[in-house]
Amino acid sequence: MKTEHEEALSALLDGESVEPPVLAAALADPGAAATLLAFARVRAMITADDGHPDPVLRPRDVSALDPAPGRRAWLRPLRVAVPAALVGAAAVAVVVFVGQHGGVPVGPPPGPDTAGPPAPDVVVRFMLDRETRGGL
Amino acid sequence: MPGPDAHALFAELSGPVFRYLLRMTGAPARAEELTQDTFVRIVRALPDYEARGRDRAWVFGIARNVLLNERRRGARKPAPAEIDDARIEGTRADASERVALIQALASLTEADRDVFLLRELGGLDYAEIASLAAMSPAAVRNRLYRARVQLRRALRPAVVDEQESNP
Repeated sequence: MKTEHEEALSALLDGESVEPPVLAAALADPGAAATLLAFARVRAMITADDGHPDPVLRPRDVSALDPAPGRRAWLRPLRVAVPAALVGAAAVAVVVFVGQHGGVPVGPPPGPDTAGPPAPDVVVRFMLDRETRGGL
Repeated sequence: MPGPDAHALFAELSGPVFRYLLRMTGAPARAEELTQDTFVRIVRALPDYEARGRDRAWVFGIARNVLLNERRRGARKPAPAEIDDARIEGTRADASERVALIQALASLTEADRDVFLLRELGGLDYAEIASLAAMSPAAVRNRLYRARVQLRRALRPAVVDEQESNP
């Protein structure tokens, strides 16, 4: 079968416009029916291919697809499938980071302070009245 | 004209988009990630999208860009010949036919496979494919014809009736 004829039949199958004289010649070709049928079978095989997304990809609540007002959509992924071990490791990392940078003591206590105590802001003096209280 | 709804787009097109990405990458896990990225981008872009009755072309355009961006970033080579046996279910005849189909698709050039899948799975017309793939409609027509002839040859026992081909 002529290349031009096969190409015309391929376009016909796709619903695209084909020059009538070219189409007439293509359909008159003895192999036209077999070619059309083969193309149609290829299409049927492709469309019957049931490769499908993993069910976990499908959100149980499709409202997850709606970006809530004031929130960014990328903060609301369609699927959350983070292993528990990863979550645990991340939690430990956060605790350690906050401990080191957020004032919560983590790890061994600091060594002896050689710089001395800070200067007091307020000094409170307790005066004992030995006479009225009778002394110590 | 009201814009498309994210729910409806996902329900209608997540399957075809996944299959397009699966057949372009050959890797189910990557295809799932890319499908997810595609729909996250769609949700983000929806407010600015002017519905023009070409939702499929718009969605597949985004999916294609996601795929191309991922390849540029990671410089990953496509692996269309990868076959995940766990996904090939059904009867033995179905499975062997499916393996043959995957291998036949893998035998196409990437550009031909892209055009073919946009047509067959995306349902895009020649003008839409030409716009996405930056080529002329005539080139799309020629690539589709070439892909079909090659697939017919590769899938000969399944798609060609010898009596029909030799009347």
